[in-house]
Amino acid sequence: MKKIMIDPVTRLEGHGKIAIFLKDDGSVANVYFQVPELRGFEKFSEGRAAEDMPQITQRICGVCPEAHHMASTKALDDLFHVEPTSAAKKLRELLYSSFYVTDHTTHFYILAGPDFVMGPDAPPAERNILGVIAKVGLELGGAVIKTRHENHWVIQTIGGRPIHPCCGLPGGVSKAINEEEREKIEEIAKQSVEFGKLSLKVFDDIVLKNKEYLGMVLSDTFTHRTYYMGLVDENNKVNFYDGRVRVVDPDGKEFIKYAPRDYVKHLAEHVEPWTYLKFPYLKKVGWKGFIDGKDSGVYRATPLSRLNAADGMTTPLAQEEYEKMYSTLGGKPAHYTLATHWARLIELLYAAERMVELVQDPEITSTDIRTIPTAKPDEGVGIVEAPRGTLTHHYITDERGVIKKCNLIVGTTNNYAAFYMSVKKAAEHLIKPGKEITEGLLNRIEMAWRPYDLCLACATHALPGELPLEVTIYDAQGNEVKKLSQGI
Amino acid sequence: MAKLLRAKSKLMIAYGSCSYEGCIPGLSNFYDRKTTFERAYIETPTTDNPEKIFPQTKVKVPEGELELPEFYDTVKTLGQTVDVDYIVPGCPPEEKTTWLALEALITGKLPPKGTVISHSVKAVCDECPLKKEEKRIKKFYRPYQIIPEPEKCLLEQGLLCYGIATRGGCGALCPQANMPCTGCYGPVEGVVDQGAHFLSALASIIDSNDPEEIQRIIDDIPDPAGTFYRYSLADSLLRRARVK
Repeated sequence: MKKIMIDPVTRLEGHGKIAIFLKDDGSVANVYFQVPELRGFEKFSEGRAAEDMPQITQRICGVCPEAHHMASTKALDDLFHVEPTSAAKKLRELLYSSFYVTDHTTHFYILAGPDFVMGPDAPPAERNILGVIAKVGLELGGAVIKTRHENHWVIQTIGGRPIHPCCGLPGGVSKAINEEEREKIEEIAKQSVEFGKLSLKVFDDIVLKNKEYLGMVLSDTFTHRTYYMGLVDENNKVNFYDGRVRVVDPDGKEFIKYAPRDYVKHLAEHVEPWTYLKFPYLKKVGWKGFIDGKDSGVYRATPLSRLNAADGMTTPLAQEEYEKMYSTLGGKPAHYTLATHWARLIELLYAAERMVELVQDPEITSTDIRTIPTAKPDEGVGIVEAPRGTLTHHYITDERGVIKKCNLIVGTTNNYAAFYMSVKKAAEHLIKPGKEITEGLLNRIEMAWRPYDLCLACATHALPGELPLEVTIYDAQGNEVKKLSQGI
Repeated sequence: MAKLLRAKSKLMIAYGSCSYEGCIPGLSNFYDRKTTFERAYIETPTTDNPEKIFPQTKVKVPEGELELPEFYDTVKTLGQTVDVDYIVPGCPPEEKTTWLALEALITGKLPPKGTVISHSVKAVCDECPLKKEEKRIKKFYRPYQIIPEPEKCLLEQGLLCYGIATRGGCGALCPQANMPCTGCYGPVEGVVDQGAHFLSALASIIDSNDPEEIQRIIDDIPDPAGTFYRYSLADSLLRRARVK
């Protein structure tokens, strides 16, 4: 066997860098989580035609372009003062729900699942999707691939293209679906519900029935008390496509609820010189540094945060699972970061159930899918829940609809302070004087950020998408003692 | 990074529009580092940065020193940085395009060096099923302003469809969803500058000989540079705007 090392590739731009500094006695002195990339969408969007923004901004990322496409299209509705037709809204939400099914499937099975299914101490060569398939069986592995493949067909059928949709226009969508397509989508939606149920059963069997894993989920090492953010409908139920942004405090009490236009009143972003990514926080509480609790403006916007911030789910099966989760975790809000994986699967089931509801709506094949804007464009804000957090697009244009100013607060960015704190806490708890730093131990530190489903491409609006990451540990003299990288 | 990969690789393929022609991030070449930083770290309405801190390539922290890679003024393509063997176009390359490239690699039946691997060397129009008649345009519309007639060429209806200047191979997906092609597969075979090609094609279909009327017709295009060079600015003859 020949060993191939491509060491300097770890210098790749577009990955997270974690530096862990140790004291003389080998305990942790400090941790830095750097994001070494920026592309500047907020600047080069200036001068572009507003209607091009859904297709321009979705190039921020190849992982969740649908989220940018949708937030941008909604910002255009607001900008052009136009109300999309009822059928258009339903088609957008159907596409978006289908996208959630694919995205959450990818994360659980390909990125997060290996930790639980294979175990945190399994060698990296087995801690991957192939290892998962070997353990849970080809049948489930096939279902994962099929679910993703078929839902991408749904995205293409409604959105025009399978990866970067092109259907979003102010006031509607460019394309209707016919009865034949509807029937096929209905079939896929129903299969996705079954897949969602199956995934929760897998989680139950593998994680919840394993005392060691459950203990890890409930341990202080992976816990932070923060504010939680999520989009809710008029009954405070979870909604991914539309509604108001609700934030609850660490005790679960509603702290603020705002309409998209008011986001500037409630959010601010802190800048540090050692990273290209900014740290959003709640303006009313203020930036107090990297600490949790009620007095710190740090909030989280993750699947678990959305469930924490809402009063429940609108679909029956997801609601049942929602209740089960909180009764197991000892009430709301749940502060256990690793429970985010559980919440993600409940959301997957909700998204699939929502697909069924929408595709069975008699209006879904309507051809009344466009309202032509007539008002002068000026300013617009669009918000959706991206899988990785609340996504805000804000544009100001001249009267011809040419972008003058653009501001974006993107999924993963919301959680920057939180996932940095999670990694720091896990490192402090796990790296102890005299204890050897093993792969398994470093993987447990990785497990502290994996629940956030980091997409630093989204966060800094830079490629290459899902997280390549490098951890370097330095001793008290500043010498490198260990390096770990993934996906690089 | 690219240089190292090149040195270690037998074959180097520019996969997708970013490496091929700079793609959307290449639009950053209309601006520079200074204005980009000012927008991102000072101006945006949510930024709270009274001390005007910018990210630094080297930062001293109490425990040691942290480094960040430098942010450059100009986006470059892979081909401008190292020698590239093949190109797979598209943002993103469609499944079938990727498959074509993989097949060539696996079977070893490699095309001549420099080939853009796609099912077509011609324009998107060539594979677009929409009905084409005569292209004579009196007025341009923006996609939100009209509901196009189905099955009829979008360009002939006044929508700025980029299919005439874009390599096919995608299957003309956007026009079939009633949206204009935006040019993501890059120039057709033999064309150096996609934007210039589109501009010259456009000039020949504007239905007027009166300079004032022509000006009026062209004024309906709100962002010519960003439209004609949506994906290819970094790879074009223009490359970038002048840094002030």
